[in-house]
Amino acid sequence: MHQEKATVLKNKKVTSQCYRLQLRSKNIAREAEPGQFLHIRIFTKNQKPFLRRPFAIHSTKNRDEFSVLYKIRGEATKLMRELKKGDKIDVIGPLGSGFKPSREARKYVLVAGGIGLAPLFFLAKKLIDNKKEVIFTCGARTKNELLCGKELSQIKIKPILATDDGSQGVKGNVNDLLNNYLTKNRKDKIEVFAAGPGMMLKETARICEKAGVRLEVSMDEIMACGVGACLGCAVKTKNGYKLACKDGPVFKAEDIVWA
Amino acid sequence: MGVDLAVKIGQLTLKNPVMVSSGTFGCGREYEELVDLKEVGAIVTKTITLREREGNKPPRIAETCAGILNAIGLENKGLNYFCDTTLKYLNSIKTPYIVSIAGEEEKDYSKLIKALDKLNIKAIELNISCPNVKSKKNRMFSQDARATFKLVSKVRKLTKATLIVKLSPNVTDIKEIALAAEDAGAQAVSLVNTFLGMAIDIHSRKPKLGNVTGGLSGPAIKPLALRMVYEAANALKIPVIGQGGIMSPEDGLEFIIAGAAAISIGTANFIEPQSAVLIKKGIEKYLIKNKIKNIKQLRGTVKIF
Repeated sequence: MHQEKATVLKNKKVTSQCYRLQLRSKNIAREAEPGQFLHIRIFTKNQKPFLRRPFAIHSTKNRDEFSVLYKIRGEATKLMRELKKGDKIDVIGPLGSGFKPSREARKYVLVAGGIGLAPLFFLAKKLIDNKKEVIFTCGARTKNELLCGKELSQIKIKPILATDDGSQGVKGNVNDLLNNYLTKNRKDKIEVFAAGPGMMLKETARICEKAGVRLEVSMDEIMACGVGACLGCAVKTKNGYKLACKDGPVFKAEDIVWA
Repeated sequence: MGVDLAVKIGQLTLKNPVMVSSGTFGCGREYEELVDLKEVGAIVTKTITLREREGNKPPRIAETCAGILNAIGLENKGLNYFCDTTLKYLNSIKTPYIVSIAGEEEKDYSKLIKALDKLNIKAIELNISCPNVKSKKNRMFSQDARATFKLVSKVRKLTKATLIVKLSPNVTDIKEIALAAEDAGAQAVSLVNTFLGMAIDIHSRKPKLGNVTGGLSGPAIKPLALRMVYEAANALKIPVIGQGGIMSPEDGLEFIIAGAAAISIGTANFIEPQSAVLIKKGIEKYLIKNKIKNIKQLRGTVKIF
């Protein structure tokens, strides 16, 4: 865990609503694991927005570069959009507990709903580096919102796609892709990793439970401190409340009590 | 020119007057990789209760204008866990610590104090002002001067530790409650805890907090807190620990000039983990620049025309 002034290397629009912010700092990238996050301070002089914002680590490069993928949603992300090459921002990270793929699995199925792709890309890259077989399913509302096609092909991944309007890939959502995959393939030695909206993850969990496959999910919660001090980002689990910032953001799906 | 930043709260001597508030800094360990804990005046621990509490239903945090609402609900693992685990850590660091405790009724506080007294705890903060936990009478001890007096008198007899009473701002007359704590033998009061508040999501029309209401903290409450610290400090002989939205050295200095003997940093820790250290350094600079040798010479020096 470090607090560093990271230098903006690039801040590029990747779809109509999403941007990729590439940063450089001394220690964060070196220690980052897939599924961990950064707590970024981004504010104007009148303390708006007030709190830091958590972002999944999207990828790392050369031991000192890392990036986040973000969607314009509110004041903080609108300010982030304005960042220029050479700007410095205050980043705390890497934080939290990430994905824990087991060595025994043969196939790793990644389920990315919308901006949920951010941490899963990092995981895919690491699994590919370790010569694992990765099945990457990816969903968005429409063709133009599908993320990281080029980056995935660079790491030799051909994602299975779904769009709500059928403009590319299967018409439907990413859970349909997962369901389809699990029906057509032997389910032993498959592990699933998912990130996306809460409602999607709940359904992903239902599908995996029914199929009897192991699933890890990355939970998105409102956070204040990011380091386990304020106990604000509670996630209800079968063993009581756990913290998204410290025990998570990645949890075993079987432990979650879904709302 | 060196300046003397040391202050005394009861029997506790702090190297500097900048503490960190209960519930915002864990037991220090949570921030040890980011903050030089030796530079922190004192750590007030996350409040403990007799038994484990699971805390409130999420969402527990809502961001508001220049502040946050929280309704954590005093989640903690209880007294035994604290004594077996957290205390070992606290005793291993050089920073003075103050154990914050809360209960639903008087006898909870008595049991907690007796247990802590056996372990030679040097300072205890009675949290009688958490807005997210309802006592059996459905109000906080610190909303009633007589209840405050009765509770503090009772626990005062049970320990030699420095007793600090944390007060709620959700009262008509803060002086009355603060005086009750002083009369009952408190060695300091700490104020303010959070202001009761609420926020609503207009799209779902649901409250933004799972608990419906919560406590407001951050710069939004600073002028309100400052007024109360000013009033309490004028009325009391014992030291006042001032807190409420302190984000900068200037904010901290305002509280000291208003009469606070020490100040405590809460919400700011979430945004800048090193707030307490940076604020301490800023205060030191101010003293040097204004040729004030001792922080105590600044206390309560507000000039009322």
